[in-house]
Amino acid sequence: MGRFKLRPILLKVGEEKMKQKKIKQEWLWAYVFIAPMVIGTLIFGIIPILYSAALSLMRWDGLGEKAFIGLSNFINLMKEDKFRYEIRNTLVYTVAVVPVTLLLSLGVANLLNKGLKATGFFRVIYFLPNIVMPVAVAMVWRFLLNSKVGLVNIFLKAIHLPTPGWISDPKYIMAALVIISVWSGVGYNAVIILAGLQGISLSLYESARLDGAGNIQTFWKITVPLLSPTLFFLLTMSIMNSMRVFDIIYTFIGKADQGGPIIDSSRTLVFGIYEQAFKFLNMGNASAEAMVLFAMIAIITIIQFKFQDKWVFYD
Amino acid sequence: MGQKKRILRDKTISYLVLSIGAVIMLAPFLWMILTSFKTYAETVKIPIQWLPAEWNLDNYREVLVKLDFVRYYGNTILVTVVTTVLMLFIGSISAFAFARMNFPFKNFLFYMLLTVFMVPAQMTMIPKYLIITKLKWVDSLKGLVIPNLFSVYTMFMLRQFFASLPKDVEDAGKIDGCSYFRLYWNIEMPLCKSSIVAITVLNILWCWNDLLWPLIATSSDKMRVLSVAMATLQGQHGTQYHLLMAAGVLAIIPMLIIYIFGQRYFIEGIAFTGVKG
Repeated sequence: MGRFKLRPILLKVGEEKMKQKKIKQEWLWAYVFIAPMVIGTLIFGIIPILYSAALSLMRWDGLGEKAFIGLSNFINLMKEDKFRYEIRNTLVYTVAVVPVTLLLSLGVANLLNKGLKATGFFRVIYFLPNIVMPVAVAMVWRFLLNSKVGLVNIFLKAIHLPTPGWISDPKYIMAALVIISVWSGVGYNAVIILAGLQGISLSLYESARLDGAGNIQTFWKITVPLLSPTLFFLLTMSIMNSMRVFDIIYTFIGKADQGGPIIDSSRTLVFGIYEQAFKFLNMGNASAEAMVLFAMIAIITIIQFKFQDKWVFYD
Repeated sequence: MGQKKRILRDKTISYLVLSIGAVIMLAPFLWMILTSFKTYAETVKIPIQWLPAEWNLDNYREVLVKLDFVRYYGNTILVTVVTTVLMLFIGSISAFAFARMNFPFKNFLFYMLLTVFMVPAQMTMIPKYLIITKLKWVDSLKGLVIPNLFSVYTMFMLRQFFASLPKDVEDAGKIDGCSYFRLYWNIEMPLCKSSIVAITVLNILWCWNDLLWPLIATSSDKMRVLSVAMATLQGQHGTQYHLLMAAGVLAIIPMLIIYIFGQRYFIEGIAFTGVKG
């Protein structure tokens, strides 16, 4: 009798074991699949972050002995004019590029959203600078902004406007860098804003119009709130990217000799990190500067997220 | 009638403004192309000389052969292809595991990866350089490629796509006794082909255009890539505009071709990741 009852129980135990085995197998395969990503990120992400933090407290030329010097690197940085210029330039650049780019993109996206036949064509053209190597962008603009033979000044002269030395006058070099960045950034932002605009239901506009709302009113009361998650995303990303600007700066001044008012007026934080680490082989100072950059980006991002419920509207 | 007139006027103004903008967007490229065919004297002539007197490829020949751009081209293509292929594989297979499989510490590992993603790459570049120096990877393909293969961004985006696929596809696969790898490779990957193309196009673009890492990871010109070669050229021949512009055109062309044929993926990919991100 016992035998007959035992069979189903044994079967069940077997099934349970099979299931266990299957789960174990799933775990094993999952670990195999994520292993390259996790190990790679550990070696080239997590360890470098910690190492960077440690290096910021040391004096080291990259070859000899490391010496722990506490916060001296940070104190040295504060004393250096270069570092002050870098902070100033990075902030000026960001404060100029981000709002100008966003406002222009908002305008372009609105025009592109009017249902014109050539919308696709314009979208492709405005987006074009985005696929071009920033080094090449900086190169062609350096030529265009040349004070004598550059196309920009030839054009300005023809319409009797002043023709500044965009890249030879320290007062204008930052303006030149801002112009270049706005030119390359408008298309990208406009494409994303356009996608956001196209997600807004037309019936909202119609009912607003029936209620007698004007163009400006619908823009502020309907378009901006419904677009606010997109705008928030773009704002956060643009600030982050602007704080880390490097390629165009390096193309402009990277190979120039040290010092000089032009370089002082255009050097940014990432340029400073690069210079400290790979020109002066001062890994401690460079890492300290990297920590400062990271802290600045983190603080600005946290502030943005803190204030987002004041104006960002998620449905 | 008044309504129609207003719409017409509105459209005309829109076209006008957009066209002026388009000219500003295109003019630098046209000027670049025109200049690349000129002689040095023609580039600095006052008053301006709009068109080259003679259309020939002398500048291109000089850039490609004398300034060694053939090699930089080869290097850039090699680095871009190897990086993007491996990046996609590593990113997508981990994305699959995070979206479709269960295992201990899944959330912990996922958020750990995301945290790393939040830290700007400039923070890690010095230790990364020290690591590749230790490994003797400076000036090698390995040094240019391997530290950049682990794209948390790619993984994160693809995880979203995998997670949005219907679950019964997977169940059907399991019943058939499919292995997990076949489930990933044969069933789920083909289902998100367009997302994969979009993300790969972005990765290609990023890899081709990147300056900072190759600048750090190479010191000789053996493995030099185009971006570094161009920045160097700008430093050494800063006023040789005819050569600089020819080099610029050469560096842009491959991305331009991909853009022209795949602009739908570029723009939609970017719009999608932007809105979703």
